[in-house]
Amino acid sequence: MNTHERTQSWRANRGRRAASWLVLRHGDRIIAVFMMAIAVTALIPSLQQPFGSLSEPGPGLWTVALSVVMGALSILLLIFGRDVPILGKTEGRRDLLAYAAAMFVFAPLYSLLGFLPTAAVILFGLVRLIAHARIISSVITAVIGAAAVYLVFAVGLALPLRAF
Amino acid sequence: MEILDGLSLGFQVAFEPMNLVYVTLGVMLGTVVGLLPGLGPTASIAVLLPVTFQMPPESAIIMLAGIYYGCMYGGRIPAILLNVPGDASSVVTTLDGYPLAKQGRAGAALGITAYGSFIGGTIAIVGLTLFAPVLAAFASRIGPPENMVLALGGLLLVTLISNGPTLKALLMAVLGLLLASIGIDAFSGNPRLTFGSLDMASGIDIIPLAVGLFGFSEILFLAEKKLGSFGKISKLSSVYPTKEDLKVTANPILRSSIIGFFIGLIPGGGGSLSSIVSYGAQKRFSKHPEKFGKGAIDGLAATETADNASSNSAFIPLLTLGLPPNSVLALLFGVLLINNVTPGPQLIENHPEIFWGVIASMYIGNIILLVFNLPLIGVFVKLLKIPPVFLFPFVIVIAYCGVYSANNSVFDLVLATGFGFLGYALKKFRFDLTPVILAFILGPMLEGQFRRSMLMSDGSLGIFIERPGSMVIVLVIALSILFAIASGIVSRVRGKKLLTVPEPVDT
Repeated sequence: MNTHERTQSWRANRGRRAASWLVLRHGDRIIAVFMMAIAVTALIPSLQQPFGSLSEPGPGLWTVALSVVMGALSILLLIFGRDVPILGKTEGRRDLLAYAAAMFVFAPLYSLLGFLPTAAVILFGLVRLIAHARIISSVITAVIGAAAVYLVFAVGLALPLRAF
Repeated sequence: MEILDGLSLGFQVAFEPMNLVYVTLGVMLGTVVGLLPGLGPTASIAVLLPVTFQMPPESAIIMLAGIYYGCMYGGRIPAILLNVPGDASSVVTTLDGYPLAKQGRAGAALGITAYGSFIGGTIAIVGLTLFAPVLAAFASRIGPPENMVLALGGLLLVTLISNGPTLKALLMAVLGLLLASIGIDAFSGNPRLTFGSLDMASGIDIIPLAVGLFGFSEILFLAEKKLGSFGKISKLSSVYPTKEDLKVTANPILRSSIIGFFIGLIPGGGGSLSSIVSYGAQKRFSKHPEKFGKGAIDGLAATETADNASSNSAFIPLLTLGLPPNSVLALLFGVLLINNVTPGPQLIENHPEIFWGVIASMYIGNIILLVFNLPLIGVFVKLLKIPPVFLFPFVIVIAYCGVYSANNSVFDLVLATGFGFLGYALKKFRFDLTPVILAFILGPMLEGQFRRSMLMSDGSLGIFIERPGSMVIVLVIALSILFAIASGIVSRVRGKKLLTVPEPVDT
């Protein structure tokens, strides 16, 4: 069986109703390029550090060595990389985007508003969008949930969370 | 006598009222979080880590040990009741646990799981009590070259037996080492890979890395699968095994305790490896091997006992050599470092209250797991009726609480988010994340010991094979690596390892 047939067979056996598996052609090679970029990004500033010698290693020796090894492994992955079957079209995509958006905005919201409003907004958004709860239920869950988490962690466990 | 004195000290620490409260709380919290399918022990512990921040070091590690057992046991509950494994090691649990549940014996399955885990854990802790001080005494005599070789060998072994292709696992290990080198160099004081950022100058903390890479990425991965509800839960009857069950499982439990104990000592050897080996061994010894996969209670007992035994024996390399053998203990290692306690050969001398306190708390935690969890299983099961779409938003908020609390840093929140997205992408492309966290933890030790070794040898790499201690370690590790490679080649030749990369397994 070739890769496509294996993936199709695997998909059928997994019994996923609404999912569509894609075979990401050259998937490993895409990641290899990304890793190579990381290696180069690490190598350039590392070369500006004092290298020292083997008898007295400088701070640059270790990071240069790691960058070179990462680059070499990336090249090997580029050469020997395979296709990667990934979950493509799926009915969970909306949920994925909602969770990703919640994670993305948490830090800036916390900086601006503090923990309680941030947690309430995040909980409201996720419960409303993903759990499809009614607006009233979502608001109640968000407010009580945020307050409860704050009470347990900031008050009960003395974690340094800024309420507002 | 030294061991008895140490245990006496340990029990004094563990029996302090607050520490008893902490270990009980840890076991229960760990069970609750661990039973959420998909999160896995690493993600669960990463999320719960910050709970321990305001505690003294011995209390923090005692509570975390309780969380550890709780998580490991908690993952069994959905595996048996719903056929949804909480982590890699509970995949084997579903083979016989779920069929038993469908036969109306969910209670017996959960009961024997707890009972087998208790016996396996106890035997492993006794082994830990006897073996750990001896190993610590030996380890205190080894120097930087031996430490470096041990750390490197452990990392390589874990990388070789990780899920997926070795090349990708090696890339992840190097990524972890690079991430660990960000910040101020300990030897020269030079900033490295900080790109002029003051936030990066203090390096990357373990908390945002662990929470992001394991917690957030897992939630994103599960979100994509649209986990609407956990499904129909099998009816639960009495959770106590019958006399016949105890009779059938007596030998498997004893045998699996020993198997699990020794496998847990190997880097990367705990969890799923001990479960699989023990299950396979029991199938050979069983009088009814045809029942395996259809509800063999001895098979279930074997896998659960080995799993808990290996979870406990894995503390030996952590406490005595300072080598975390898996991602979960890498997190515990990180917590100890945060509390200015360095696990390793000096731990038993410099912080005996922590060393023996942890061992004593493991005895207590094991008992609490059996005494509390069995009667409360009905309560825990009710949690599974809460749809994950309500639970996971709270997990996210709680996780961010913890991340921020580590250093009062908004930058850590950004890092956790970034690592969450990175971890999700790496999982999509079928990378195992365990080598990242292990390499991140071992990175400073590896570099430090390497540089010290080079100073000692005046730049000669031969120091790693000229010293008898490091040469022996190099030989043992080289043989282990060759064995792992040979096993992989044999498996491929027999066609057992599919070219299509399997579904990523939760760590």
